[in-house]
Amino acid sequence: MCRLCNVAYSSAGVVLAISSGAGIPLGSLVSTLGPPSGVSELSQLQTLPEDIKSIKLPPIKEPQWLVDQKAAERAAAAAAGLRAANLAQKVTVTYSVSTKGAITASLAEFKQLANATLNDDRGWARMGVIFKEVASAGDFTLVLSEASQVPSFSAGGCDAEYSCRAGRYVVINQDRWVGATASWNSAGGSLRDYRHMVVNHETGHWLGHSHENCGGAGQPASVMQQQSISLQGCKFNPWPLSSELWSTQLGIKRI
Amino acid sequence: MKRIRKSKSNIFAHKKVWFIGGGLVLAALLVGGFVAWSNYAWGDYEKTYTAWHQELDAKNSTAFGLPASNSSEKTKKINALKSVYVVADKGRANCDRYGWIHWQQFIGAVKFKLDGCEEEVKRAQSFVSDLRVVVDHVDAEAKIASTLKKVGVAKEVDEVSLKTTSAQWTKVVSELQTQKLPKSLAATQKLAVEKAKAIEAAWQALATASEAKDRDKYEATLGQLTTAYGELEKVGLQGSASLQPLLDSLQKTHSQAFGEHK
Repeated sequence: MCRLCNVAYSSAGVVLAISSGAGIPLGSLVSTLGPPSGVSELSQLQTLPEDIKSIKLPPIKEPQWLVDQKAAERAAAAAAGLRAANLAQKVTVTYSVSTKGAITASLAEFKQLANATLNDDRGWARMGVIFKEVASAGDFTLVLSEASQVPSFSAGGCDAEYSCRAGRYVVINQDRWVGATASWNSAGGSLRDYRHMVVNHETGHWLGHSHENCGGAGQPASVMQQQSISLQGCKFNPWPLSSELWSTQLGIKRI
Repeated sequence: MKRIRKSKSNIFAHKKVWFIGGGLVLAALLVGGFVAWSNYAWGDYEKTYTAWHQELDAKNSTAFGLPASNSSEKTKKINALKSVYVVADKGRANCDRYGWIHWQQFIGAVKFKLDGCEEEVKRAQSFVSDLRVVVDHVDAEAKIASTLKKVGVAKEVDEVSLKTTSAQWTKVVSELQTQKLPKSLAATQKLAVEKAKAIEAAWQALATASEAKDRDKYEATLGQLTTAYGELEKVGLQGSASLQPLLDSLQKTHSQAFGEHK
């Protein structure tokens, strides 16, 4: 029987070998199926790069404190611009110098120092004003007056103790010119600074300024403060503050 | 008596011939039947295998041919690619199907069929294995993107919500750190965590500078924040870079499974 099986299997093998050999080999069968393309296109499935591109820094509302700071800066810049505009349109103010009464102080020194003060970069000249001394008339008259003669300029407004301004006259009291005031001296102020201060102060009245008070202990005094009488806790300051750089007389706007 | 004996022995001799002859015919019929049946079975084997491969090829062609230009299409394509796995996994069973005629593998043509089936299944499985890696990579990338997008909404942030925004990024960092992602995304995950931390720190610094009303620091931090958001793009580039070798490998196994080969 086994011999019979072997014959049968062998026969079957021969027949199968023939019949299967005639069939389609698998390898060639597979190769007949077209290879689908598009593997590289699978990168299109990625969403990460696109999604990340969509993540943007959100708009950030400026905090109020920064808004305020910037507003203050803008105001300051505008002020600086206005100041620059004022400086750009130079105004020439003419003045003449005269004396009243018996003058013992050097008039030449008075003229020289007064002109230097008025045209100093720290003074009213910062408004873009040029003070030019002329022989007579001018926009105002700067007077070096004997102390006793000062009240003659304005009975109610001027006295023999201090300097004053009366109409077109900017009157410097000779006693103050040569010796400042007790208050000033006792506070340690120099005569030169006093002279700068008194010329600027009285000219300031002519420019349209009234008296000011000390803005706060330790702060520089306003030039329009009556520093001859009391510093009110402020520091000596012979020059106008930035806030004082305006003139109704000359049409220069407050900054 | 002799004649009777002779005639009896003749009868026996005749019967023996007939018996042997009949047995041989029966054996021949059995062998022939088995051969015919085997032939049919191997033909069917081939048909089944061919049908499987054609189905795999069709699924594959369909899946690869689908467009992927928007989110919805991408999802459809990924699902179609996943359906290729199912067909590919069925292939192995086709090779084992005819166990009790398997012994015929010593016959060259049968062995060729069996080996071919095994080889094709191996190739298909190798391709599907690479395909799984790519699809898993893309799926996992989507998780990273989804996490990052949670805080990617361009809603105005004000003084009060600076800290909240920073806290949201803290959550994003934590989520990114704990995500279970494939190895192929390890570098991308690390980079995403690093960049998200930088954004979180910048928001925190901005909140602190705002509270301190420190303008210099606030403005410097705004710059840092812009840079940090810009740096996020590198995460996307890293994702693409780490996908490329996977695609290259897939291209190779794809060609082996569906391309021309001997």
